[in-house]
Amino acid sequence: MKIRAVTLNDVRQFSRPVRVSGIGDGVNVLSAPNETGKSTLFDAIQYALFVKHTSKPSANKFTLTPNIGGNPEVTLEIEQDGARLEIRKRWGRQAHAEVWRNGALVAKADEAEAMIAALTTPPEKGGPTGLLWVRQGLTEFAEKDALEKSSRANLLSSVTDEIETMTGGKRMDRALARAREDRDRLVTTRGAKAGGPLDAAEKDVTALSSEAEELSARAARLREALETRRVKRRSLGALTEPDEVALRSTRLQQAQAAFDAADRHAAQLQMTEQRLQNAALTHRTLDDQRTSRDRTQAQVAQLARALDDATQRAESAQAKADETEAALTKAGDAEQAARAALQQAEAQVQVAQDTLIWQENDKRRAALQADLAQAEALAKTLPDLRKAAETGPDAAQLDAIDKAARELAVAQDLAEAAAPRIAFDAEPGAPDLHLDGTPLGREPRSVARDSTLDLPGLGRLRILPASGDLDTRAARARDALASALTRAGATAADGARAAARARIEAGQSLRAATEDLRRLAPEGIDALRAEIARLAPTGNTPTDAPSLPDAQTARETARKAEADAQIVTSGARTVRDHAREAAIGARHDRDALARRLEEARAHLAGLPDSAGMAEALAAAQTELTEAESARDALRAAAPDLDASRAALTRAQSVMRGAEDEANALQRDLAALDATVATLSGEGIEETLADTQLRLARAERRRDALRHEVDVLNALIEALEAAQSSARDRYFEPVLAELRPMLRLLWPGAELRFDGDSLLPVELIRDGHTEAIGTLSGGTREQISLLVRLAFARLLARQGQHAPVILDDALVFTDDERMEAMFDALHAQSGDLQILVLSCRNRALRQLGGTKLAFEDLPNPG
Amino acid sequence: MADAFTFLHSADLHLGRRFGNLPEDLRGRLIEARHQIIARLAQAARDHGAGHILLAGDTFDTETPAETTLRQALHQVADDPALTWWLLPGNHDSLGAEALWDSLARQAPDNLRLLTREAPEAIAPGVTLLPAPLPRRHAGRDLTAWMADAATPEGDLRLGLAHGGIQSFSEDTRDEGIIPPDRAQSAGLAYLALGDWHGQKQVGPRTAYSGTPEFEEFRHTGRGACLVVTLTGDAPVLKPVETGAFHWAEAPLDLVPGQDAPAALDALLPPPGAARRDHLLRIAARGRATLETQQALRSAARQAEPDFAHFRLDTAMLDTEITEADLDQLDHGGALRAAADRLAGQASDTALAEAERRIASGALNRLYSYLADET
Repeated sequence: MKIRAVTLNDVRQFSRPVRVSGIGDGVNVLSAPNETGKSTLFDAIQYALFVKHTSKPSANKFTLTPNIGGNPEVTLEIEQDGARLEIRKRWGRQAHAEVWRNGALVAKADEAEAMIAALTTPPEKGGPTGLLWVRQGLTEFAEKDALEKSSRANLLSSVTDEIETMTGGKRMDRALARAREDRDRLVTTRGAKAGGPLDAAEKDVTALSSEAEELSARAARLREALETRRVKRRSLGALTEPDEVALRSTRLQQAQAAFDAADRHAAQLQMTEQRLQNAALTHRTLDDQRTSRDRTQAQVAQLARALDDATQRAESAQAKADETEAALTKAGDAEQAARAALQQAEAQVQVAQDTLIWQENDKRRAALQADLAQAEALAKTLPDLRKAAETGPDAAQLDAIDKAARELAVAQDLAEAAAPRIAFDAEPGAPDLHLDGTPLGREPRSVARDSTLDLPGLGRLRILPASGDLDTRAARARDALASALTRAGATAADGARAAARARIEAGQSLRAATEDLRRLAPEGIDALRAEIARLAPTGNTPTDAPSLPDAQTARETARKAEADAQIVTSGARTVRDHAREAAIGARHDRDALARRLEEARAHLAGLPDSAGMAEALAAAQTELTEAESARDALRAAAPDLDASRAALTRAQSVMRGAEDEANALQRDLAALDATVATLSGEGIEETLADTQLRLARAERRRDALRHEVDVLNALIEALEAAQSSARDRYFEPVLAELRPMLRLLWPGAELRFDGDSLLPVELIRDGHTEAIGTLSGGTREQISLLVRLAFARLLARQGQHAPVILDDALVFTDDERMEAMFDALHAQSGDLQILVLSCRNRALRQLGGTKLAFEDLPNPG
Repeated sequence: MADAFTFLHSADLHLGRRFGNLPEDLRGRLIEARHQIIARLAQAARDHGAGHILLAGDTFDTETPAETTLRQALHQVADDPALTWWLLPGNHDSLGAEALWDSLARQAPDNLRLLTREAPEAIAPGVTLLPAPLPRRHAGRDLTAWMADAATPEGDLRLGLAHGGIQSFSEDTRDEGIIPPDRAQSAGLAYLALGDWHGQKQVGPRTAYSGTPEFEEFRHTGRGACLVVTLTGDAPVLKPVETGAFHWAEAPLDLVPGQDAPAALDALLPPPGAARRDHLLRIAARGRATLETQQALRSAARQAEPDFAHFRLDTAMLDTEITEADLDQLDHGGALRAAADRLAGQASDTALAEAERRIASGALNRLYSYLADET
């Protein structure tokens, strides 16, 4: 299809008919300022082709309704398969649609719309026309509004047939969509879809598994209860069976009777044994008494002898004790004497020591008294020394005087050096001259101050040297010296120095005296006097005192004698103590034997006589023999009491155990009956069997759905793989058309398309991959245009001509690129029809091609 | 010898079964049908002049039926006092189910006799019943052995009643059949009424399984039934009487490429009509079929399914015969054809596991059905 002319009437700003005609093959340019109706022309062509005449203007955003009101009318003249067609449409009142072929009306109204639809095939049905239009600011590949959406929904819609052939087209899409829909109904990427059939089946399985498990547990509990009850019932039956009960009773009675008999026999035996024990005790007592009498008699004799011996030993020991007591008394006396001698010797030593102390004190007191005299003499000199030490210039004052004197001397020397000199070289016979009274000769003399030169016979020559700086310095120095001397209390420097030396010497003397006084009386003179007083003699010094060594030797001798006497006394005391203890022990032994003898005699006197004792012993022996015989007889006939007791205990235990067990079984059975009644009444096993069947069915259902998912995934995977592969193959020719145009702008560039949306997504240039969305507006509009040109080329090669309409499609493109785009347009326009609508007059002058313009037509009215 | 004695022989009522393996909407109907089975047996007995109904075991599905199951069954038994019911413990309701038999003993109406001991039971003048109750679920021995030595009044008809397998067939695969097939002859029985096998089967002239009066699964085809037995001293006369409310059938549908699958399926179906509502039908398609045939078969199955109480076409074992024509029908070229070729290749690739091949085959069938739906 190629557009040849468009006529508008009552369309937006065109209240009068206008026409654009002469649209040829190749590039056609309608260049006009803004608001002159280019976009209106663009929309009018779209309306004529895609908007039914019966649609209401408000249904579309881009309504053609005139600004001043009216009913828009568009006539589109096209060339299709060698025929000239006219599409005439009017919307609003008196809406109509007509198709004219070669000047003849061939269809009207719906028939005309059907024919138009067949000519163009709307975009949503894969028609080519809508694709290739690009309008200002709509260079993106995304959908904008309803009309744009329908006309630009799919970039490749214009080549749908081709795509369908290669990629399965809409059949493929529908199959894929159904497969995905079926699968998505079952699963998501994370597993079974919540609320979906598979999810429900899996939940059923889980719930039923849990239910079956719980029922199995309850059924097992029921089974266990039934089995337990069966066993317990049998146990109870066996326990309560009458023969069994009677047998247990009989056994108990028999065991009781046997035990009673054995118990009685045991009691009789016990009595007999008691009798035997009594007889044996009586016999043993009598026998013991006889033995005791014999033993007591022997003991009395023995004790009497022992008493005699003890009496003798006591007397001997007492004598010995008396003897040692006397020896001890003697030794004590000797010791006392030795102690007195020692005391006397020690007193002599004390006297000797006191004498020595007295002598030392005298010496000490004499020395201290000498020190005291010296100290008192020194103390008297101290005030004068202190006064002298504080009299005269101190070091600082002296130093100031010295400095001032030195400064004065220097000043004077300098003045002297600077003073005029005078000499007198006398002629023979000349009188002597005197300067300031001193003869003046050839030796020059300085005249530093006012001087008088006596000129004999002439008078006196006064020499007055002029005073200068040096004199001033000397005067200041003199003043300073005078001031220093005044502060030091001196009149001359030498005197000041002598006074300073005297002050220093006085200070030294003061320190020496103070030091000596401190040495002589460290604690002060009063303390020294007190010490002397303390050492004053208190009595007369003994005159006959022994020497200390002699006294000490005598004391040692006495001390040794006293020690020896103590030893002797101690030994005598020990001997005396032993003897005294022995005497006491001998007396105690004697007394004890006497008591024992007396007791033995008393005990012997209390025993029966021998004849009576022998008779009683014989009677006891007889009783003992009889009791032994009776016991032996009973023992031989005794039943086993322990065995009978054990048998009785066991029989009783069996009876009690049977009763307890029966009671317990009855209690257990009551509880089991309740459990069984509850569980079996609920039909647990029926429910379990049913649940297991339901579980198996749910598992089959789940497995079938999982298989369904596998099947759908396999189908989707196969379809997607085939579609992707086909698309790759399909895009090759598109890219082959596109590549040369792209490289007019960007050498070596490539464009990559998305497999699903079939839209360009990336531009690869200079080795870099850039997403379409990140490119500049100019680049995007250039790519948009080139892609459409490429598809238009492809369509044209397949005999499906479709016009490319560009409505200010290159508003962002700079002049340099514009040139390249013009080259691309011309390069592609060989068998295409390209309609360029633009307000960029100057830029488009370089484009060339057929120039178009709005042409006013006479108003039909 | 007594005059002719007619009784009704039934078994395996399996009261309490709930059909959890079937769809919810059907379960209610099946449970209700099972609930009515005692009434139908009673009616069959009355219809054929039988005063006694012998139930050869497995009257209850479990050893601990729900109270409602038990009570409602007993009420139905008591409904006609003129009929006497003889109840033998089977493997599902053996004597090991003490609770069940205690309940039955406590609650049984007068016309219900419990056969819990191996002892002759005079059930009618001149007729002695020799029951072989199962002491536990798996008896482990021939319980009919005692019948040979059982003393009965001279001239009485000896009637055996047992539950279990004969020879090598048994409803319970864990039990080997241990009842000798000649037990009727060796024990001098006029008739040995057996239970356990849910299908009706005459083992010998005097030995038969009555089958269950109402099927509960697809193992046996048809409707449940009972036997009306008439003993005269000669060979017993057995008359099968249908009692089942539902017709159960499972049939294979063997297909080969080129076969008219819908027609083959139709041939397996009962005539169209209201009766189909009581039919449960499971068709297992086997063999090979083309994509087109499978599509047509599924379509026919979908068409027929609503007629039936239950209808299921299982194509898990039906292999796909992939033909060029089928693939051409999908597309002559392009991506669709490429996808179909890929799936076809996987479906016939023996290097792949069976499961993977079936998935690929399923995917191809699905693709075919999607596209066929559009035409």
